[in-house]
Amino acid sequence: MIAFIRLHQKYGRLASKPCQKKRMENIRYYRLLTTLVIAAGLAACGGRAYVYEPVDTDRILATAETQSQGPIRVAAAVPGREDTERIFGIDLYDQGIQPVWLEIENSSDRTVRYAPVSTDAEYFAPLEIAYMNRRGYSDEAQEAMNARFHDLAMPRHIGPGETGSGFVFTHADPGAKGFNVDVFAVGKSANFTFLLRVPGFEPDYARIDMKSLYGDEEIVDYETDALQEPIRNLPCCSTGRNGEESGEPLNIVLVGQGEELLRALLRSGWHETSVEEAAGLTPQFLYGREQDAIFRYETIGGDGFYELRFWKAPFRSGADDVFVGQARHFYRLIGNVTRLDADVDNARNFAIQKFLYGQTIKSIAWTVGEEVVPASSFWDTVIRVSYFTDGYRIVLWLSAEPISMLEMNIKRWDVPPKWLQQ
Amino acid sequence: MTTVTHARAATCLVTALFCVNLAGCASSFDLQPVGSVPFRERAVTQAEDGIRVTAAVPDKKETRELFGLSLYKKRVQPVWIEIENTTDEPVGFLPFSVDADYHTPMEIASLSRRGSNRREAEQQLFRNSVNMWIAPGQTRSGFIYTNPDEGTKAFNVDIVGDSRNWAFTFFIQVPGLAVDHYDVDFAAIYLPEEVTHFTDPAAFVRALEELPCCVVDSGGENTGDPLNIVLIGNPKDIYYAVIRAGWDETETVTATSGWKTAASFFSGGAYRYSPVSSLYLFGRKQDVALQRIRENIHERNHFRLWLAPMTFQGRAVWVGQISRDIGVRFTMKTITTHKIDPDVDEAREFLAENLAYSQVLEKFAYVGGVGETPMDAPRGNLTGDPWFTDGRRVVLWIPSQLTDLNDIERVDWTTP
Repeated sequence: MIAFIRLHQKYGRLASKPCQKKRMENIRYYRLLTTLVIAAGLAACGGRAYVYEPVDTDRILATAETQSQGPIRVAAAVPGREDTERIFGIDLYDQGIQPVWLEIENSSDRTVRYAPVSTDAEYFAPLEIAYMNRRGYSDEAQEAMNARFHDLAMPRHIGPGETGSGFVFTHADPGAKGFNVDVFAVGKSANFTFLLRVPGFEPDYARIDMKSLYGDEEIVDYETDALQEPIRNLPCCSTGRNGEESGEPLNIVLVGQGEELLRALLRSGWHETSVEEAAGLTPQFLYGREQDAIFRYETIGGDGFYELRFWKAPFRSGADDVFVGQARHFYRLIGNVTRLDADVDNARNFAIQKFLYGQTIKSIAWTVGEEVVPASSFWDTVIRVSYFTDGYRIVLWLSAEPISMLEMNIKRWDVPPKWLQQ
Repeated sequence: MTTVTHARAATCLVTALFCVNLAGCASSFDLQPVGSVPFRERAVTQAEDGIRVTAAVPDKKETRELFGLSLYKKRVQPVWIEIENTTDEPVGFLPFSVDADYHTPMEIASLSRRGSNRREAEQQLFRNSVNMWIAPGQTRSGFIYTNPDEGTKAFNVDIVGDSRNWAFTFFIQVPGLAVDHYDVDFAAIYLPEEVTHFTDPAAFVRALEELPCCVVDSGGENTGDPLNIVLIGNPKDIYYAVIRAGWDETETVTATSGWKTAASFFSGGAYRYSPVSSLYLFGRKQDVALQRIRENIHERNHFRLWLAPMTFQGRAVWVGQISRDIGVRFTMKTITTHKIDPDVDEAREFLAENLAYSQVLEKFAYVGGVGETPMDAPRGNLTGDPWFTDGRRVVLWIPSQLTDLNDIERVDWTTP
């Protein structure tokens, strides 16, 4: 480290005169750095003790959900930020790590294997987390931390008649936690899907009582295929607060029961938005109110995000509710500045694929809408508009249970856009 | 004298930075016709039941020539795709299958720092992108903008029709990366008489358990990480399997690769093909080194493979070592080195599951040979990191065809 500082001081001396001020800043920086290094060194010599509280199994079990398949029973719970800090003595959420607690009971006569990659393909290893957090702790404390994470880890193999329990360290998800637990025996597997609320997170839609949005007499009930008409007659776009300013196209419609739709959204990789986050976003309006729910998917590398906004519609189909929505893509320009992707059809098409690969689409249909701003004239307009679109809407009937692409039912409403265009 | 040398070095450095800056400063698009750059000479074509898909991947230099911008520097890799539909129904192409986080033409256009150029680029990029819909008898082509892979680009192309779907998998080599195993002639490593052919499982297990516990250094004196994996499969199948499971090939140590590693070390950024140090077995360094990056360069899983002088029931046998890097620390010998997760069994089991979920695992078994090493009495590797293990090696059979998770066979050689 000293050599490193000397090297930098040498380059500081090579700086020419106009850089004098910069050089002074550099020297100040190195002094600060030296002080910090010494401070860190001192801390490492002694170091803190590692303090944690015992695991309160009853408290965890109180929030756990249990599922069984044949001889395998799985209980799962996700401790919130505070409980996690109590159990591990470290704020893991702050580091983007979310522990998932599992208990697997094996009543079969063979050893079974739990695969952590089913819960998070890029899970953190227990000793990796201990190593990441070792700084500032004494040697004894570091050993205690290693032992703590190692001992509390969920075992992979569970013998016949045995029950194994422990934590899997996953990447933190904002909002509800949706994950799988796959348990393998010879030639067969038990596959569980959990969707758990995480204490301390309130999704934006929790502020709305969906059941009381409309009176019974306000809601029109349609046969499945008759939904085409009210969907086609929807306004092109959302609006601003006073209903005058036009927003972006309403290009996606979801059909299904509330909890089922939520599961499908989460299973496809969309994340809920918290009440606080939603309050910081510019609202869009339809049916005289701002959106009921916002879901987002951030693309890897922080390049941007896709966003879905939904309003519950005043019509339904039997037991299925209808949610009218808009799909938009925002890409990162510089720093935290994002820009709306003018190709809103791409956002819609991306959303379809996200649901498709999430194996959540039961049925799919297209409706023709109004081609508000065609791509052909988008670049020719004098006044810059914010998007272009073919005006089509996608209607998706979603399922909470996995449905393969081949089982998907394609409804013959309107022909999909651009089939015949050159 | 020393001062003069330093001054010269500094001038050189400044000049170099200036040049790099200028070169990297091309900030607007200058799109050229696809045919003007001959990258499609490396195109790969696949066809099935009326659908023909051709794909090609331009390298760094070709991309720059095609677009006028260094898209690779912006972590964007264009993939050119042509789809011909000779069926009698319209079909849809799903760009999501190529890359679930693909970039959109508008997003790519925003990389241009000049407003007027951006508008023009938007139009051109939009029109040059692949259209999702292909009518009967129609052929459509264009670019899709993916997150980059060097070495081998592996991706799927899924096509959906009303009555059926098509799924194609492509492995396309992209020039520009000096990959370590491209130089290894696997067929020439051993003379025919040096190879033992096992058919009897008991004899094979004995041979595996008699292999050395661990890798050694170049002098063969000091032992390092445990040899905890055995792969059974032919070179081509192994290669496809690991690429499919998300492992990156490793660049051989060259001057450029050293620079790239150093740059990502200081920025914490991801240089996914970083060279690895050599470990030794059978008197030579690893034949193949692969890595699977997690958050940044400090966190990746590494595995090294050596072709073993044996076959089992007609298939090649590979012995290897896997570890999970959990950080970087300073050493006297090599200045910096990766700190490994002392629980080496964790990385071993990760590999088995990673291959299983990528549908490239046919069977698995466990054998001994490393020697049990408890957590409170660990052994050390060549850079002084401790490790502990239950002492087993996992044996993984790699199939030539995709294998469903539930069809994986557990071979009962020892109990986990």
